[in-house]
Amino acid sequence: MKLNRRQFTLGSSSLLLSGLLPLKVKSSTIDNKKNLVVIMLRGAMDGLTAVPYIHDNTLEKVRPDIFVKKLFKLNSDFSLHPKLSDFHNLWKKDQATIIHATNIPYTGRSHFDGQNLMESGGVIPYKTKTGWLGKGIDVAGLDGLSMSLPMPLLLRGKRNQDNFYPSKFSMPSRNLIDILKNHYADEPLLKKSFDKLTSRPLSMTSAPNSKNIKTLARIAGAELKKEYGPRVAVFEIFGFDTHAAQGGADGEHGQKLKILDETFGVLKKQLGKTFDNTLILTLTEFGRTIVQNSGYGTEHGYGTAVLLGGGLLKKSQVFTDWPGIKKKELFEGRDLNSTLDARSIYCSAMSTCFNTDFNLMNKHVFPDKTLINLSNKIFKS
Amino acid sequence: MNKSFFRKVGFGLSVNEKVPENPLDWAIDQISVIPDLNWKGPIYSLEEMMNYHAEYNYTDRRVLRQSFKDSRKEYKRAKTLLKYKTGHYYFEPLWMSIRQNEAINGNSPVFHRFLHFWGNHFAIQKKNSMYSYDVGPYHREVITPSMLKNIEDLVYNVTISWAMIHNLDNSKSIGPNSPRAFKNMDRGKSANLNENHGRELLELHTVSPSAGYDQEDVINMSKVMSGWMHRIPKMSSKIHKKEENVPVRFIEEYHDSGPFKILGKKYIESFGTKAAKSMLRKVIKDLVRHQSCIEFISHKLCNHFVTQNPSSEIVNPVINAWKKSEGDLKSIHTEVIKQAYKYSSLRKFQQPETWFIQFIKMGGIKYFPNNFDYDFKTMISREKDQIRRICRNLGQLPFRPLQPNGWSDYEEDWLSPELLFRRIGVLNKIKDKGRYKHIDNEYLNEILKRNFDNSKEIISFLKNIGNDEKIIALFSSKWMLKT
Repeated sequence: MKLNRRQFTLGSSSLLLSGLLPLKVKSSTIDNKKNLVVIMLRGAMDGLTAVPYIHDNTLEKVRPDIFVKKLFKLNSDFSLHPKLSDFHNLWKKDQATIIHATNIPYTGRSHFDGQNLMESGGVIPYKTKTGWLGKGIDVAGLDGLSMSLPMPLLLRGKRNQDNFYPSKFSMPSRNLIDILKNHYADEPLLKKSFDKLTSRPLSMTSAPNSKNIKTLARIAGAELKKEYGPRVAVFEIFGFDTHAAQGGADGEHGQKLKILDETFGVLKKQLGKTFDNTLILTLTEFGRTIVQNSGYGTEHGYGTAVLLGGGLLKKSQVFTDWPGIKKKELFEGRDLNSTLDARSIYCSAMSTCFNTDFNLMNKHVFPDKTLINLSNKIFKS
Repeated sequence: MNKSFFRKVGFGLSVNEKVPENPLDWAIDQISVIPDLNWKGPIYSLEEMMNYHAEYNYTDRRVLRQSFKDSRKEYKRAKTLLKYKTGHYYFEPLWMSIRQNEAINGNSPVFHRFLHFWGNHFAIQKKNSMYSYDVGPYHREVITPSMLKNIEDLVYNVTISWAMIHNLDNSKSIGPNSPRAFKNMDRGKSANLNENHGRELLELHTVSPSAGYDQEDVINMSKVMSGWMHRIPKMSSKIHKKEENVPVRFIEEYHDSGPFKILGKKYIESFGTKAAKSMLRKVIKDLVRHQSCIEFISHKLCNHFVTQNPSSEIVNPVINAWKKSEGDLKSIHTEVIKQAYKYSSLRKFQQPETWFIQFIKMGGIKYFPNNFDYDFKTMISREKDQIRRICRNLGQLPFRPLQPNGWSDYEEDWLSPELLFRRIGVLNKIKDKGRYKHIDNEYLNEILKRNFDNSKEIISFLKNIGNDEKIIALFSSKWMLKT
């Protein structure tokens, strides 16, 4: 597919939330360390709430009760939700991009199948047991660390990944640790996890017990800033599935966008100059229906928007091959269509941040399809 | 005998219990009757919970937000007091204590393992505050009584329960050809289906995506379900203070009478309240007899109780029992137990809560607060909240799955370095609190004798470990993590 229709420029912000952040260590390219932060927005983030199409009043007409009127205007076609103020600040500094009308190649509208594919990068749900980010880290020859309780599928790969989530717990005696290490020898997964656990640096043996996303973002930011620190961080924010009470500026969707925005803001502040070498990228499983339902919410849809922030972006822009939102232009007559396989964005982001050839990344991480290299259009060379 | 069976389908044996002579009878007897509650502390009905939640909803929405609209600080203070008054922080720890008390001290741990399974299968999410009020009564009053009936009854009762109707937004759904939709159109208002419940009924609760349903099936399922709602009373009515906390009922005005077509089967129009009400049961009956539903849930049961990714040799007998009994839950559960016994040498990684309950029970650990009374005026004590906090630290709050498909039953999702650390860390912390003092070598031997076939191997494993860490080692061992 060629992106030859309309490409909009506008600005906005995005960010992330709740409880999980991955990091990475032992960069093979310390001289040019670039960080990739991924924020998973679970529940289907409505791209048309975050970045509404305002070229005409179509959206306002079909969403009379949930369309937000007081928006940050990005250009003549798109605006930004008012809760995304920090993202808007990035926009004003040429550090924000929105890729609109995009999604993974999945139209089944199931959260669980969709999230599985969003993380695995595959096309058949549950077929792949590793994630596209984990596989990309493998290709680049790096190690990874997630600051979360579970290890998200997104980060699972062949190499040992670690995860960390602040708590006040402590390990038992050295003697017992050694005995357990030997004891787990014939249990591959247990062994793998325990080996990682017992090789943690001192800085990860205890930490304030906080689930606050701002705290986690500060910790992640501090680690990403380190020359030999992690290069990948993953967060996730739940609760975008707003079948009811999606609301306007202060509704449920707006509140979730605010959490995302705060994450962008904290990372920007915490990373300081390192933000110039950082890319933040959002994922979601699909978008939501164009028309509001009786409960002032929306149903599962298809196309949505990806929000990117960071100094690795070429400029602030809304990048899209806009399909339109008139009835006849919608996917199955109800959803924003997707004109770009979102995996092209993921692959381009990894290629840029991991200093790895795009085609090599494509071949090993997304082998089912030749994706479009967006690096030159979206990212700084 | 492989004594891991007592952990596969139960929570292990305490040192006060005898090893059953016939493990199969021991287990099957437990799922043949609905057990009485062992819990002696306070307990509240769903109706009472709806009243507490109604007071919370009404006071917050209609009183506090108006009274303190100019002062966020004062509003937050008043809301905190309201939360105390309505048991906002009290009920979840209470429900968890009752749940875990029955597992540990009750006479039917096997029944409770199955109850935990179904509670997770028909998961209620933390999407607003109601979960902390209603999930306990939902398990007790909706799922438990259905567990000796047919799977059709279980699915139906869950589907029209207050908890699920609320959780999956069905009260927000208006059938497109319903009288209400036409009224709305006349007034220039929109009227749409809410597909959330209809979709999850197909995807998560019954046939799963393997049935190959499409969007039209989801829409038709949602139409069948339209009209089942906890209708919010009008502000002028006498019961308006209940907000949405009123019993679920079928309201024909919101129902789309069809005809419907779901998974290739046609259903004629459901005119009239009686026909419309019975339509949902008809459809559920067909769904639970669908091959995809039988295979999906049979596999899920075996995956939980027998081993991860069970082979067809393990699952097929459960499928056959389902078909032969036409969905009788006791027959299905019995076959699952038989497979767990037959394949007890196959191991299964235990979810954090199950593992922790086994630790408390087998280790004879002092765990529950002395009483669970509450004054409804102050924050609950840390002692009462301990059970909830431990489960949170282990990564599994049983009443708060992050997604509507409940907590995962796969090893990969529970074996990250941090989650493994949490298990060991919790055991270590309880040691620091001095709660292992009763566990000497003799006590340890009693635990091993009842619960393991490889006692000698375990004793050898423990021999170079200090007495105060032996119990940590045992419950961190591969034999306990993977039963």
